[in-house]
Amino acid sequence: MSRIAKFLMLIALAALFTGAVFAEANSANIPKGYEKIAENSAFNLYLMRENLSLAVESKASGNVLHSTVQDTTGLKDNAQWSGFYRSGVVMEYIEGLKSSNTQADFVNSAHELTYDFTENGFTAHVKFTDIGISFDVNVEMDETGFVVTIPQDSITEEMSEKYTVATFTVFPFLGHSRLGSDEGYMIIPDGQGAIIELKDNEGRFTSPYDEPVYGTNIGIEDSVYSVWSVDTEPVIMPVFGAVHTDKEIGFLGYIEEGDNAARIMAYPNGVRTSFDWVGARYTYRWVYQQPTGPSSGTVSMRTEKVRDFDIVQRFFLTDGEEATYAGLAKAWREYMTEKGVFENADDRPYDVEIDFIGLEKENYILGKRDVVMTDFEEATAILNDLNDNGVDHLSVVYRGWLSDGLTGSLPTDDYSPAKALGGKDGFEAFMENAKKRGMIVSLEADFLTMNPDVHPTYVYNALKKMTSQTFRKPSFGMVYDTVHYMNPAKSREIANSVVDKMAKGGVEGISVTGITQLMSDFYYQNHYRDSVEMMGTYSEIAKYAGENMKATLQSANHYLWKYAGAISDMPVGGSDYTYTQREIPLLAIALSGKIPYYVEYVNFQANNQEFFLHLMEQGARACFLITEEDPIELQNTNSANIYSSRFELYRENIISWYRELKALNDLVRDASILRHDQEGNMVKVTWDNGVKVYLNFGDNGSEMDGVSLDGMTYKVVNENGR
Amino acid sequence: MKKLLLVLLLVTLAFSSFSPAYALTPYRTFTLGVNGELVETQTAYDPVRTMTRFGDESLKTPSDLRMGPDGNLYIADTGNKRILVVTTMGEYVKEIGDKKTLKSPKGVFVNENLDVYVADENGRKVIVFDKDGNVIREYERPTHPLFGDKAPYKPNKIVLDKRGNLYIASTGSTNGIIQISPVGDGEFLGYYGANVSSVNILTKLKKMVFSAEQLSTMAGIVPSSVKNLTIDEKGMVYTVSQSNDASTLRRLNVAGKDTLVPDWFYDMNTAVAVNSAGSIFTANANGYIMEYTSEGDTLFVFGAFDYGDQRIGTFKSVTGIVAADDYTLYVLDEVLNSIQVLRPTEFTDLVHEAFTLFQEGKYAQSKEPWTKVLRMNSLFTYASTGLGEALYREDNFEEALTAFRNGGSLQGYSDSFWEIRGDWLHKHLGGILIGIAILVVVLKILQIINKKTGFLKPLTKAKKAFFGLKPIRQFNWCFMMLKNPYDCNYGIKHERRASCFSAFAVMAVFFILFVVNKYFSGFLFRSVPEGYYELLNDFLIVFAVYMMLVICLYLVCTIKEGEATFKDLLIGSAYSLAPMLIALPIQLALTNVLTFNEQFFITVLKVVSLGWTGILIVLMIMYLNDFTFAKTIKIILWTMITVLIAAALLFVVYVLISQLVDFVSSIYGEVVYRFVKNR
Repeated sequence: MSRIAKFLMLIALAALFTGAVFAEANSANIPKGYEKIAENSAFNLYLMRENLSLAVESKASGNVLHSTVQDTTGLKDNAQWSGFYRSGVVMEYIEGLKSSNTQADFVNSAHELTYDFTENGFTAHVKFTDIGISFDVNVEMDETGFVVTIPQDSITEEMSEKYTVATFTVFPFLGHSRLGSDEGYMIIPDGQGAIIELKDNEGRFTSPYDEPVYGTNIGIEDSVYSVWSVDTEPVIMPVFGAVHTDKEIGFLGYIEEGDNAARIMAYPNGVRTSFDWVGARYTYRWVYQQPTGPSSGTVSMRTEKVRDFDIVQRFFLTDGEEATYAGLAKAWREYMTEKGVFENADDRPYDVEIDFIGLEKENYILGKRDVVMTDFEEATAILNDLNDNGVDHLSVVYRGWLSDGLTGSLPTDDYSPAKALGGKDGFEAFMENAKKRGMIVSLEADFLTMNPDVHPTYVYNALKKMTSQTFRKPSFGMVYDTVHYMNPAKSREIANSVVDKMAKGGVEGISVTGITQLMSDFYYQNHYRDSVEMMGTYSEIAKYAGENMKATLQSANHYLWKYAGAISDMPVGGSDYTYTQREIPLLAIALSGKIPYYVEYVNFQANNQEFFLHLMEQGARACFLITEEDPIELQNTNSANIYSSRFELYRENIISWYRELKALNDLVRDASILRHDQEGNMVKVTWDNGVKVYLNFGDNGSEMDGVSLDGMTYKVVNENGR
Repeated sequence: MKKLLLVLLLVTLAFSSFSPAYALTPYRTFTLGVNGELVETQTAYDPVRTMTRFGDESLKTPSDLRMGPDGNLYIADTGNKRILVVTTMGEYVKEIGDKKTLKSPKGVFVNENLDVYVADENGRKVIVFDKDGNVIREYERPTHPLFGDKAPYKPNKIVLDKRGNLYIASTGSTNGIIQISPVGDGEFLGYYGANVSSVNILTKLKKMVFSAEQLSTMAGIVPSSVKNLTIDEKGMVYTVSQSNDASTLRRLNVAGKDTLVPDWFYDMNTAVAVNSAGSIFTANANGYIMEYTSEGDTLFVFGAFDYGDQRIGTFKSVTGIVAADDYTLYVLDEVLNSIQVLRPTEFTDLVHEAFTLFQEGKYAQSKEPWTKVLRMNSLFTYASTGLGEALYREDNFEEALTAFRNGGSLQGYSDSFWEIRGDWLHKHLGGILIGIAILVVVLKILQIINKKTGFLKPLTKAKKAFFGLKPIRQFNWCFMMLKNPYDCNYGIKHERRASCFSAFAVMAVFFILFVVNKYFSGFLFRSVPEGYYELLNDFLIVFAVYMMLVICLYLVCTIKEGEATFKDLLIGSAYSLAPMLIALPIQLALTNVLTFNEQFFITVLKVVSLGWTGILIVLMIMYLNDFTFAKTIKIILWTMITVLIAAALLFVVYVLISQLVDFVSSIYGEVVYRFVKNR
């Protein structure tokens, strides 16, 4: 071959090569090595093939969020961490029966990575060659952002006797920041939602936010119950996110599937590394200790099978003005609406929830005796009184309505209102009166908690932990010591029969608790059962209840929202971690205007006015725990922690709060929260019909947008500026 | 618009540390309930913020915190060898002392002139700085002979009284607080308010047996040293020490005498504060904080240890606490290197308002705030008691009685009851007397008619027949014990006047009376808290003790050649309880109508009935066995020893059985693992 020919070939090759890499000229903010693989109207999505790294670029501003650390000069983190933040997807595996997992990533582990591209994304075929584990990662872009899927059936373990899959973490470093290199915040799903600012913490924090979605997995973890401390708020909504305010770009990660097996982790800088990052880790399998004796002796065991779920994690992307937590919550709300999450939501007029306590039990010479707190006639009188005094709509929930009382009648396994309260006839009269006055009456039903003293036979149906030991929880009461939980199958059996009986008996509503707040793995009929099974069973219960009655779900975990007519007992705040700077009404924004939702009891708040302002801020519905008798009567019962509930003392409170909250809700009926801004102690909530609510949470007067307010007051401005 | 948004967000960020947060408090708050137990109440103090950075400065194992008269916080920043002065919002003001002047500043105090007194533990002196940080004086180890040659001088904490006298807590000093006068060379005034070591039987025994050397190494012999102290406006010195009795918190008057008995306390206290209202706050190392009234009554108990959750309001090792006059608390943590700020809630503000009025004796004015407190918490005993006092003074005794009862105030209840009873008697005494008179007359008339016509004869006959029934006769024989113990026992032994059945009948009646007395005594004289019923326990106590005593007694008597059969002793023991059968109903009636003023009657009744029973038991053993008195006493002592041995035996059996249960369930666990889970 002539020299010229060789030269020409070289040029051609070079042209081809550059053409391949820079085929679509990347903008200045995208580093070399990334190729554009998909786009929607607002964002471009880029991929780095080498380490499965993604970059998201806002078309409007050209600003970028990276899913891996780009510049590693000067970083002295160990191989594991640097592998973690330089790989798009990180896997952990179990070696033999070792109790700690080993990490596999694209930096430290031998791997093969091949891609199939589609119109709006790609599928990456990953294989960690040394350990013989392979799986697919699918990324698809759509108008909301992009969605990452790892199908469980794509996971293969070639050396499963030695190496097995433990966990996956999907693009955990998307939107990371280093020691205040970016301005903005991370969003964590603590209670209503909270933010961790992206500023240099100077090493103040030592541990991360690392919480299981849907609360502690009691099937695996040994919980310590203390009278003294209050547990952190469990994660109700499987979302997390980050917003770079300087770049006006942000994302909200939403776990669509695999929520039962996920933990949400947010590391402020200074904790392990110098980066702020937030992500979710999904656990398929783990090693646990099986005790062989009551006091000592354990053996390591691996879970019998993998949890049965696909990972589906969606990233909502927003930029410009929408790049705030409110904008992201809105995007999530719209997506949920589209997916039909709120299809079963009741169309209730604005109301206030009143929870009556009917009956409790206290010890007596022989056995127990009734402590009647509110019988059906008294409850009728209370409702009529409120109704006659301007409270047009009430959502009434009766608690402790069975003959063994509030903490005795667990689980709720029958529909037979206690004789001491007036019996079935009394209750029917109560319902009829309430219905005539346009109120919704529900009975509280706990299909999970079980009182072994009252129902010894149910002990055979108790929920067992992974170790096959029965779960028990102290109740710190004078009458009953412990409670157990029912296993899901039994819960469903009881629930279905109770719902049938109630519906037949003409009861309009049911307020479900217990199952709405639990997510755990368990042991049943000599086999390990995963949380997916629990989720399925509880969904069936909620669905059945929702189909036959008006179902209110208490503190309901996200996956149950689609069966709910209303949601109650939602948190107003968060756990107050030292590394969070602010609490944000993320949950309220996501639910506003879509489903009636009630917050935790007003009764036990030490700061009443502040609590009221938060209800105003969130457009939430208030909830009161009410008894006719003085709760001092409860002091020798298991409900001794109820120290304030007497109707006489709450009457004015209910009437005036209803009036004020209703005034706001009349203005924002069918509207949703659009924006949420904060300046010092002042907060402005903007609804999508133009109504603005200004609130001052400070003790002193303050001003915002020319609206000045005294301490602890609020002002509503309607769409016409009045 | 975007820029505006950015500005807005920046403003937001700048203000974020004072943000409105409606957070879940990490701890529950408790107060004392009716029976002196802790009951939950509203959050008393909200954690509002954590301060870790003061300008560019941060803390390193800080050990003391004070608020100066200038309203600033003075932190003994031990690790950084300085006193850091910051505002209550966490802004840096100045620092006093440096590595040259201070070795390990452990305690700090600020006087009226803003002179800063620093206790330097390793420097072995107290150094005084003026407000600009110049050293103006040093107090070295006192040379006075009374100070002691071996006494350590490691100033750890320090306070000053109005006259400028120094009170120095020294590490390892068990003699008490070192008191030094500012006059002259810093004259040693003596030791002040030493802690007394706790003495129990065991330590007394050890003291008898152990050598001096062994004793010196023994914990508990040496009184605990003062961990922290503070002083109030009246010059009372408050100390906390790591002892586990009430001396953990003390209030010492000028003479060094403790004037405070806290009704509830934590051990391991490390910090104490008092504010101008006299409210006392203590904190222990694990972050449990208590608020006492100036009387030492527990108002609030709350706190939580930081298990790594990093929540505001949790602590790792508290070393200092300051209570501002508006009740804002500043809590210093030497591990977290932070000051956490806790603010009283609306509820707590109300409680304080009411308490202030109450303590000033303005009962009537305190009624409204107390009512408001009760509205928020029906179970708040102080509010009930406070309301009771107000109502009592309004002569509204009926409602006061209820309020006192809810508040668990026995004296208040007693006083109100006395008034109510007085009123009742005043109103009804005439009627009652007339009623009695009428009854007497009617009975008399009936008697006369009966004498003439005999119309009551069938009734008398029936009565006679009833008492003639064998079981009734046998039961009633027990009252013979009261009249003539010798005859009674003779009847049991030789005349078959009683049977085992009647003995158990007596025991059953006794048991019923015992139980009724236990659970239905008047509120003032109850021995068990309301709501507690332990009938099974009571049953076991009465019958198990009875059976055990009888069995042991029988064993001993047989060995000692007593004549009594087992049956005799079984019956005799039960019948000896006859005085109780009479006394218990009377006692029950009395407890329901008497007040503390007439408590004497009940005490007398109890002493007499118990004493009588005791004597009857002794006589019973003597007569039934035909023992001499001296021998009877010996037998009783032997019986007691036998009972102890039997109890020990039962305990061993119990332990063995529980071991067996443990073993079986271990096997079950193995089986589950091997054959069910590990297939």
